[in-house]
Amino acid sequence: MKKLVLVVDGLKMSKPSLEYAAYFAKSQDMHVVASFMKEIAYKSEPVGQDLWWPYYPERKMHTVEELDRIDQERQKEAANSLKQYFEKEGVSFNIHKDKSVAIQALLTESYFSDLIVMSYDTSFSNYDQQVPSHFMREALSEAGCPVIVTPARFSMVERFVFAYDGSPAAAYAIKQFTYLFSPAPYQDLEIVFASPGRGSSHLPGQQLLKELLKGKYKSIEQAVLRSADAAQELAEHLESESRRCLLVMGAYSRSGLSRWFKHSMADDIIRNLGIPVFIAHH
Amino acid sequence: MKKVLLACDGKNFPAGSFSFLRWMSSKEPIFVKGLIYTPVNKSLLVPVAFAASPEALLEMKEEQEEMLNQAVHQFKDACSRLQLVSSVSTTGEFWTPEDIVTESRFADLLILSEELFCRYQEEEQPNTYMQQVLQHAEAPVLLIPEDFQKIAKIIFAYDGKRDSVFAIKEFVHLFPYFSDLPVEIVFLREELSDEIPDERLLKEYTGSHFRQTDFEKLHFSGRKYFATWAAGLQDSIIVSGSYGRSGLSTAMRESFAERLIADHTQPLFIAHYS
Repeated sequence: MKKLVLVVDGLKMSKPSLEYAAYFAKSQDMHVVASFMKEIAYKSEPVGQDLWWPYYPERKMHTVEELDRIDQERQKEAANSLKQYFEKEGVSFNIHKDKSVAIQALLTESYFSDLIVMSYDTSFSNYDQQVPSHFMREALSEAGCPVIVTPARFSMVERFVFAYDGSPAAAYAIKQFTYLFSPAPYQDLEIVFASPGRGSSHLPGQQLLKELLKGKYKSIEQAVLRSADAAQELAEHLESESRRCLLVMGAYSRSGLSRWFKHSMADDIIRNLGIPVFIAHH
Repeated sequence: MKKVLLACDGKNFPAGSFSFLRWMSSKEPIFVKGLIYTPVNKSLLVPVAFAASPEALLEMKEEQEEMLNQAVHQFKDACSRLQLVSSVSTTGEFWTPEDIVTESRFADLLILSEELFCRYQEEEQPNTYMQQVLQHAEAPVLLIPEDFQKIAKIIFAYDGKRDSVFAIKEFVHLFPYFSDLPVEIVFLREELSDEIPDERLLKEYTGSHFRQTDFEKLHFSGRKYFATWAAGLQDSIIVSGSYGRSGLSTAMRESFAERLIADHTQPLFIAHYS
C-alpha cells in the first residue's frame, strides 16, 4: 500500500482535501496518514488584536491561555470528525498529532511518504493570507515526494493532463505519476506541450517518451499549444476542457530554465483554476 | 509495463542481466531497450592518428561494425528467447555517457553489468564510465553481477539521510511485487549511539509496503566493512542511495557502494536525489 500524507490544519480543516485524500486512497490503494500540524504563533484568532479593541467593542477578546484551551478543543473536534469521515468512507488511516514546526514536520514526513495532499489555502499563519502561502511555496519546492494541491471544491478527476516541456523535471514528474496512479476506465490522459514558435508539432523527445509510456496507458491524447506565453496558454487550455482535470507538472522552483514552471504559472493555476495540481521535482 | 534500459558494449554480452530480465518479466510485462555501444580500441587509434593510413582505420571500422551487428543480433536473440518486447539503439564509436543520461530520463530503470560495463576501457570496477553513469543517470541504476540467480531478500542500506530514503522509495515504486520478501534495514553510521534517526517514520513507511521488516544496526565501521558483511548474504539485493553528486566526498573516501561494485557479489540498486 502506498503511503499518502494528508496535511491537516486542525483549526481550519479543509473538507475538500479530506475528500480528495479518501478518493485517491480508495481508487489507488493508499494508506492515509493524517498529520495534524501546528505553529506556535498560529491560533484560531490572531493574538495581539486587543490593540484594536476600542474600535471593535463588540468583539470578545480571549487571553492567550484561553485561546490555547479553545484551540486544543478545536483540534480534538477536528480529529474526531476526520476519524468519523475516514471510517465512514472505509479508508485505512492513522493520525500523527501535534506536529510542529509545521514546515519542518511536513518535510520530514515527505521523505518517508509516497504522496502529500494539502489544501490550496494551507498556511499555518494568521497573517499570511496569500495563495499560495509561504508555507506552501516552501513545501512545494522542498518536499521529498510529489505533492497534490487540492482546490476549494471536490470533484472526481476525469482527465489527467501532463504539462510537458521535454525537461528532466517534466519526465521525472510523469514517471512519479505513473508509479502512483493507475487511471480508471472513466479517466483519460493528455500530454500538453507549449511551443513558443511555429516549430513542428512533435513533442521534444517524442520517441523516447512514447517508449516510456508504452504499455502503461492505453491511449494518450496530445496537444501542442503555440504561443509565446506558455503559462497563459496552458491555463486557457485547461479552462476550456469540459472534463474535470488534474494537472501533472515538474519542478516548482529549481529549474529556472524550464519554460512552464515559473512560480507565477503554478501559482496562478492553484489560485484560479480550481483543479488539483500534482507537482513533483527532482 | 516498465521501460528497462540495458546498456552494454558490443564485445561483452551481459548474461547475468538477462537472467535478471527473465526473472523480472515473470513478475510483470517489461519493455527492454538495448543501448549497445562500440568499444573503441585505443591502441588501434594511436597509429591511426600518427600516420593516417586508411587501411588500418577501415579495417578497424569494419571490425567494429561486424562486432556491433553481432551484438545487436545477440541481444535481439536473447530478448526473443525470453519473449520480451524490445528495441535496440546503437551509436557509433563516439558515444558519451550523456547519451545514457538522456535515455535514462525516459526510462524506469537502467541495468548495467556490474563487471562488464565498459571493461575494455578499464578492468577495475567501478570504472570512470560507470561512475559517470551512476552519478548522472536520471533513472535508478541496477547493477547485476554475471552470476545472478534470484532475489530472496532485500537489504536497505540506511544512513538517516534523504538520499537513502529516496532510494528505498524508488525501489518500492519500481518493484511493488516484492512486498512478500523479507526486508532488512541496515543502519550505517560510524557512531556508537543506538538511535536510528526517524525510525518511527521509516517503520511506518516500510510497514505499509512490506510484510516483514527487520532493523539491524551495524556497530562496526559500516562503510569499511559493509561490503564484507554483505558478501555473506545469499540471493539478496542491496538498495543504496549513496553516489550523490558531491564529487568531493566520493573522492575523499571510497564509498561502500564502490566496494560492493568492486566485489560484484550482489545486485546493487542505486538511486539518488539529485
